[in-house]
Amino acid sequence: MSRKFTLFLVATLILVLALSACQPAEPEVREVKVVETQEVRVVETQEVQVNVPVELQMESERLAAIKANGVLRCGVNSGVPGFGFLNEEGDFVGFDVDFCRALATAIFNNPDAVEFRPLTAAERFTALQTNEIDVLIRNTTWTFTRDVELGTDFGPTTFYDGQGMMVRRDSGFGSLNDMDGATVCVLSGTTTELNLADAFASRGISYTPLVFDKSDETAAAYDQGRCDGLTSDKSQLAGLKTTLSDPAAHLILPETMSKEPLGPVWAHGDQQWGDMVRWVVNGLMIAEEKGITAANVAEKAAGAPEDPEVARLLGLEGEYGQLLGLDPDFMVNVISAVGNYGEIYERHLGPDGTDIPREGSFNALASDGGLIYPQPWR
Amino acid sequence: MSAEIKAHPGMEKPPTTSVGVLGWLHQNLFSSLLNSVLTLISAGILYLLGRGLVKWALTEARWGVITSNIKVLAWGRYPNEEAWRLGISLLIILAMGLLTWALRRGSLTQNARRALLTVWVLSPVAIVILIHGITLPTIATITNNLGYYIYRPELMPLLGEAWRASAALLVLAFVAGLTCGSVSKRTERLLSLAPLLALFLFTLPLGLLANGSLFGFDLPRLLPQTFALLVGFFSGMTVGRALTSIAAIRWLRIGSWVAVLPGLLILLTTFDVGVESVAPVEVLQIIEPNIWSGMMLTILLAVVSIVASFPIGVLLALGRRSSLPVVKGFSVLFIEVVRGVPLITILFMAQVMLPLFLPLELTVDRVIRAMVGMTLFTAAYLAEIVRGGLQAVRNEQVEAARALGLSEMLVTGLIVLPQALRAVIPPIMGQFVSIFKDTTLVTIVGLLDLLAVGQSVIKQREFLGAVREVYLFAGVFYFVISYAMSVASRRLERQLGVTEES
Repeated sequence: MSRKFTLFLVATLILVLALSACQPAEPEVREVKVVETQEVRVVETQEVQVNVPVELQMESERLAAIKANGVLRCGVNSGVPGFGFLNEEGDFVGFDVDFCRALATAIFNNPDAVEFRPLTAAERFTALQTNEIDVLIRNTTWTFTRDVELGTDFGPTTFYDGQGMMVRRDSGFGSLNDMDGATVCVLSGTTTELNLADAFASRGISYTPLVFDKSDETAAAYDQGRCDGLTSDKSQLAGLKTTLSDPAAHLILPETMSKEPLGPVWAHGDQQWGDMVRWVVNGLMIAEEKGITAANVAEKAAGAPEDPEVARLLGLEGEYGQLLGLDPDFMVNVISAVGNYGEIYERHLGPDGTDIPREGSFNALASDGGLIYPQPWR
Repeated sequence: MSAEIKAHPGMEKPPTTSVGVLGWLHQNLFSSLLNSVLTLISAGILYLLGRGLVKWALTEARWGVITSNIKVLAWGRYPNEEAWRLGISLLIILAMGLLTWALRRGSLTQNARRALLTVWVLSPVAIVILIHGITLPTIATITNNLGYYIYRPELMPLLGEAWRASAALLVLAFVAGLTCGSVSKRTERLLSLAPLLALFLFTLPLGLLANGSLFGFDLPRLLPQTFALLVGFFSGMTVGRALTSIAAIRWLRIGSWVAVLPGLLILLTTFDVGVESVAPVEVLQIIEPNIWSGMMLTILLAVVSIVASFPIGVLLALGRRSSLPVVKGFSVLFIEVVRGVPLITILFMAQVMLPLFLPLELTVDRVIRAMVGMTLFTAAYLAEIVRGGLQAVRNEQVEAARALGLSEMLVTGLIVLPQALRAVIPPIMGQFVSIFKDTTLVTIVGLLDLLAVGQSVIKQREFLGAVREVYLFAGVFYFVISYAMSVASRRLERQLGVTEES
């Protein structure tokens, strides 16, 4: 037994020694090697040290993490017509979704480099606070408490929503003031219900609320004629209108009973990241002002634009991309992938989409009397 | 026929319809004048109630919302080109179900039962790998990762992961030692050293490449490896010697060799040194749980919570009856706390609260969180059901078993549990059907199960408002599966009952 045992011991030792033996035999050679290795590493470290402060100025930590990850994590809604839902291929599509894709294109030049996280209203801010998502673009209204108390920051408003009222054309109602004594279908427990009460009280007229738990039920009750008016956010009303048995027989009154500015949201603590989100959205709006579309952006970028702002936007002048930690021509990529703000609106909320009229609304460009007023790119 | 039934007591009775359709109608619907009148009136009411539904379903309903979105409803955001993996997984589940359904316990030989059990244990692993995808190390990865700490000084900054090489060596040496210590023939003993030898032969060329010669090795750098190798080998040998007399030593040896391979793969695969030529290869594209959605998510949530909750539930039930105060206390506390909280609260806690407590770097996937929440919830309820079954086993059974000299473990495993579980099959299946339907609650925490996907696709412009179609479809889906589960449960009851009586 002991003989065999010794045999194994020797065999094992031979294995180990085979790898380590003669190690001190050529000490000079080894020392030289070690010195070389150290030298190389020192040089590398110095380079990194030189780079770090510069990069900290230019590039946000989150952007660096996103680049390392290879995807942008974007919190979206999975069930609002026109804004975010699944198409027949199982891909997310919609107005909000396209802003996620725009950001991904700015970073990776790939509109599909997004990890969409469908979120409910209850968990969306937790998801931001716990770093589960990089940016939240999910019909989120910019309010005092959300901005200040929840530790989040809001980007430029991409859609000005507000509570509206839908009535039958043959009812003769032309404005809210005509609706004295009307019955109104409304969703229970929402700010919608409170806004409705305020709107009627301030006009000194009365109404009877008919309250429901689900928006589908509310619309069905209105369709069956159980109430004279249906109130909800205008973006929702437009979607609900198409589900009615005769959509053409209804109209949405011009009054807006509340302010619901919707836009991208990110967590406090990384201003550079916020800057990037803000300026990609702004860039999309400027592109519409300047008539740059997905179709003509490549041509404009190839030529020499006369308008200096267009040249700056497309990265032909200045170092705007570098300052955000992005490619110089990132807006060219973004616009050719998703189009300008107007094209995104048209695709999802235009007549071929959910059909929310843009002309004359807050969502028209400032030059057309709306509130879409991007800051100058200089 | 009746002769056959006598010959095979386990066989099913002939269905009543075999008497003939007319005979059945006469017997059940028109056996007397009063019954005929009642039948006609009931038929009339059914017609009035069903007419609207049938008319709607045939003429008004926009079934296009289902037909054009069938892929989305089935697997949601799972890549279409990888959907075959789901198909195979489903086939495995169905095959396992059918196999268990078709084979009766009594009719199997010992070996067949062992084989069936092995397949049962392995199939969930196969399904997880299929659905999630897998990266495997190539030979180059293993060679590199094992040899790396020894031979690649230029990769020193990556030393944080070098423990994996030592751990792999320790495990491998332990198994080699175990074999070496427990076999008797000299050739077998030498053979057990072969894997270690092979390992070094594989890693040696790499060392030569990295250092230019065999003589560049650094002894201090070798020490952890040498230590791991010696400790592993000799502890394995001691254990092997001690266990030589045990009858199952052969199985233990084989089992440890089978177990060590995946262990080595796991240790070395995740050990990516960032060199492309030796990086692990993605054999099946990894598809993260957070994009699992649609019917597949519904089924997965149900299957995982059912399969995982059963052993936990049984252990909790046994724990609650235990005489050890800590075990008993923990079981009671767990069961009562979990049962005192609604499932939706547990899901909300898992999705919204849990991330607030975890460090920022540690993120557990949302789907996994939901699975864990549902499993723990089901386990608590199962524990109480199983406890009811345990109480139904009469104490004489336990005493008789003890009188035969069975150990406490065998009394529980062979006498008490089989009787207890058989008694509570109906409530257990009821709980399983219930948890299957409860998977819809994950909609509220933002996971895209069948219901959530359904609610999302009706936001497509051409299908806006097609609510009833989608809900009816989902309803039929849930009904079919729930009904299949209850049929299976009845069949199981009958099987077990019959086997016991014969």
